[in-house]
Amino acid sequence: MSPITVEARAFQAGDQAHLHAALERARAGAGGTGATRTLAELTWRYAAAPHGARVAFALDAEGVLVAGLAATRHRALLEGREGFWLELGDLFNDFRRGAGLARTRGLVLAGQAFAERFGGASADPHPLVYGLPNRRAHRLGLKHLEWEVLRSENELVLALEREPRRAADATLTLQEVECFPAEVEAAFRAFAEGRAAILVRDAAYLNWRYADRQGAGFARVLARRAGALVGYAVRCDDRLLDWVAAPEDEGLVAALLGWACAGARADGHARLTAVMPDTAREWLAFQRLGFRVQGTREFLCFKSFQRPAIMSWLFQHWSYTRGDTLR
Amino acid sequence: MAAPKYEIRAFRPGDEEGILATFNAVFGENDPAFVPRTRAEWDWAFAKNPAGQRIWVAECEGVIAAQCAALPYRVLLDGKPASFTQGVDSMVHPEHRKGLRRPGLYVETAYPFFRQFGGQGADLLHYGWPVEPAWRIGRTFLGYQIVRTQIIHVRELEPGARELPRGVERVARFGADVHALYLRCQAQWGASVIRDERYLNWRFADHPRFRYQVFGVRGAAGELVACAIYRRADRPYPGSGLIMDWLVPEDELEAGELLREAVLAQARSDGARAALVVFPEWSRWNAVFQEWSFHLHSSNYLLIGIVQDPRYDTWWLREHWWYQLAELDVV
Repeated sequence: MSPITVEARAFQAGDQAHLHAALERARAGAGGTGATRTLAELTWRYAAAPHGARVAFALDAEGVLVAGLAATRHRALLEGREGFWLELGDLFNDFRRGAGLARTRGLVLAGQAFAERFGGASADPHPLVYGLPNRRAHRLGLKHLEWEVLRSENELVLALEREPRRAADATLTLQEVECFPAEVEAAFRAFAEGRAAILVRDAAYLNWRYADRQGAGFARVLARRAGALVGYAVRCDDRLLDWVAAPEDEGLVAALLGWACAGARADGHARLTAVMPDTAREWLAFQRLGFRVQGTREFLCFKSFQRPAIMSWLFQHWSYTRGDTLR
Repeated sequence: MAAPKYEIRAFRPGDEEGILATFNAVFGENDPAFVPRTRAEWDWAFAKNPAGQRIWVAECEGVIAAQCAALPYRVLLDGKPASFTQGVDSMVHPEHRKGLRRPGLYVETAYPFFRQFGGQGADLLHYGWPVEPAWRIGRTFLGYQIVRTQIIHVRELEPGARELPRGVERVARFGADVHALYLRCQAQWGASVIRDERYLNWRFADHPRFRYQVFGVRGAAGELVACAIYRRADRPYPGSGLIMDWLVPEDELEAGELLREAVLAQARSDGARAALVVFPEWSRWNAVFQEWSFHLHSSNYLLIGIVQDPRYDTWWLREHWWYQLAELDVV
């Protein structure tokens, strides 16, 4: 059995080229199936992330990257305490290397090193790693890395012909923007009251996610009341990707949904979709506004390193949007 | 004190009363509302199931100390006969539990169960809706995977008719024509329990504890063109009017509307607070029921599976397996 060396560390400048080549080899080894990653996308996802990224790479005797994991680091709130969660963006294995069980040895070793180096009891602790794997990564993660499914994801779909109409809230002004200002975090903090687990939506995160990504075509809007920023929304095509709007502020919700519907319609779409946990307060509220629930092919998966982030707790308490797992 | 010696083995005739005694001890523990299971109920589930029997036990000095059991179902999978099993009555007698012993007596009893009944050519899927501790044990030791985190269609009941609409009849027992109806429906499904006279009469008409209402709509020649099975229950929520089975071809929307009204009328008569049903999200009925003022609610139920054939996985099942509350034994 050929020796495998594992590196578990912070993402470093230049890693994206090695990762890109390894992903291509893994993809070729899987018969060319699965989506491709561009070098620019990997640079954005890992090298340019505001709080960096973490990787575990398995290298063969020649130093070739044969398997590994790469995850972006995000600020998060867990029962009022702030920390960092990891969003797994890539999990890969070159199945042309080795035979039998040895084919996944590199991935298993990388996964173990990743958990030990970045798990809850390590010097660089993260209570949670999460991701939205494709079918192959789902199988690998559950079988070899002790990942769990949190939810078989559904989406809320609004046929634009059924868009709810209500009188505009005259106290609100909407402004489309190129990037998010620092004051957005205060609106997020108000929104996050009573939400026990949630990624922090500060300007650095939102601009990285929705302004800095090349070619993604995001539309961003801020909502203000008497000059104060009270909410925002992000849309891409027919997808409402992210928003901050207190569900009880019906005027704000209606204004942001109206903006998203108008944008989707202008882009030639007949519907608007959104993803949120079925335990969210907005889940039933959106259905009452005319959204319908449809299935997706997505399983939200995670690995927890710290209580209370076990499955049943996260299932009930984690607030997220589609943007949190945007591939 | 010497450690107890367990004989882990397949079910043998004569085990019935021992299994019942352990079941009532385990599930009656700390539950003042528990109604002990009777021998007739056990016989219905395990001796009279038309698809057979799946039981392994651990016996210790004449006591059934643990059980791994399942209800088998005959299914059509990609148009071919196969079988699924629903894990039920997983238990370890209170006097034989040792919290720190890993993997534990239940798992030791389950290993030979799955060796006998799992694998290619045997039961293709073992599924269940476990409580969280059972889910954790199953995930760690037996390979449980989540097929779906279950959402439930719920319609709050408003005042309205309490009589069956014209065109809907009550069906006391299923006849042979229900199989033709099933075959019509299953053309849209990749995998489903075969709903024929034998299965449906066993599952519903002959159930020794629960009373189900079967509503049917017939065509011009008297053939069954659609049916719905209903039961008033306090699970999963108090005051539930459960649609247990919805056997309605996707192009029989009018029959579906009649059956919806029949179910709602019966639920009102029964004092139910809401009507509940589950559908795979890919089914047309998922969308139609939302148009009929059912909203999708979250639940704590996890549909789990051990897929015992490498040609299939949880992704495939999520997208192709038609199931209903009928496939859940506790309701």
